[in-house]
Amino acid sequence: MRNSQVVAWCLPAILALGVSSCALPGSENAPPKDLAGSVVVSDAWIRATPPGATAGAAYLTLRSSRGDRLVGVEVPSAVARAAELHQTVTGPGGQLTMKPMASVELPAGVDVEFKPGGSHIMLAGLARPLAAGETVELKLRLQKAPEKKLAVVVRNEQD
Amino acid sequence: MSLPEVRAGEADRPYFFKASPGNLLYVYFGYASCPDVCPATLSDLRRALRMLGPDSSRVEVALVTVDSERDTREILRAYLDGFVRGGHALRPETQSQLARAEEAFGATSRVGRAADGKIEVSHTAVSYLVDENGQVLLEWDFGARPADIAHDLRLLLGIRAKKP
Repeated sequence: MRNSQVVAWCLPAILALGVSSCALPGSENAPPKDLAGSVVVSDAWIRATPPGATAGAAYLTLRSSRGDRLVGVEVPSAVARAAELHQTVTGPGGQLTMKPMASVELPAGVDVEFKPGGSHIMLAGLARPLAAGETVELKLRLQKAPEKKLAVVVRNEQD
Repeated sequence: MSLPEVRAGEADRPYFFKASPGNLLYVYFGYASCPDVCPATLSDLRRALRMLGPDSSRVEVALVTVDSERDTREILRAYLDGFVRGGHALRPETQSQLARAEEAFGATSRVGRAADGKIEVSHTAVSYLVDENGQVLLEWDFGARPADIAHDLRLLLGIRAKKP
């Protein structure tokens, strides 16, 4: 919503003055990243996995200052084949199943939680078990804000 | 009703879903490549057992895989040992064996393919508590708190200890 207001404010300036950039109110020559706002990550963790587990899960909380969208996650290291956005949903007969999500909306100023039994980042094709204490790098791809690199700690469910 | 129990370095043997006398048996249906719900449930069980202290030795654990095709004997054994050492790793050899066991508990599952061709597993995620006669005493839905599970276990173990 806020961004559409910015666009509405900028557009007449561009049309009237023929300028290719426009400043936001109160901030002169603001770089484009300010339009995107920032995304803050908190409570990120990955569950330690036992031998035999071929998939793991990362959990975190995201908060975007101006509204954004998480469009993908990458695991740069060889520890997992891929990272996918998933949601655990309850189907017919109380069966739980995982559904992939193409992206996740991050409304402005709202904590979006990824937690057990809800949304999670599935680490598919684990090359080895994930041990408590190690860290795994994840890259969050966002629609507006720049890519975000995280070093996520592996641990067990908190006591 | 029984399912083949996978034992390290030994031949499978049928397991009959009964706790040893005076003990309780925790039963869960899941699979090893489950990233979220199964490890969350088994982690919570592990925490509950830790809260019980020495009494936890009177709680036996059985994990039934709903995905025998991908959960080989080795994978299933290692997976369960990762949460609870020495639990009963149960691996149905046929779909009808699994269906019979699920029916006895009111559990259901389905291994299918999603639109993108990936294997998609759906399953009820209820944990069951069984006595030495094979009777289901109670069920915990997914998300039951470890402290509540420990509380229930302590209560039921106490009642059983007082039996003449």
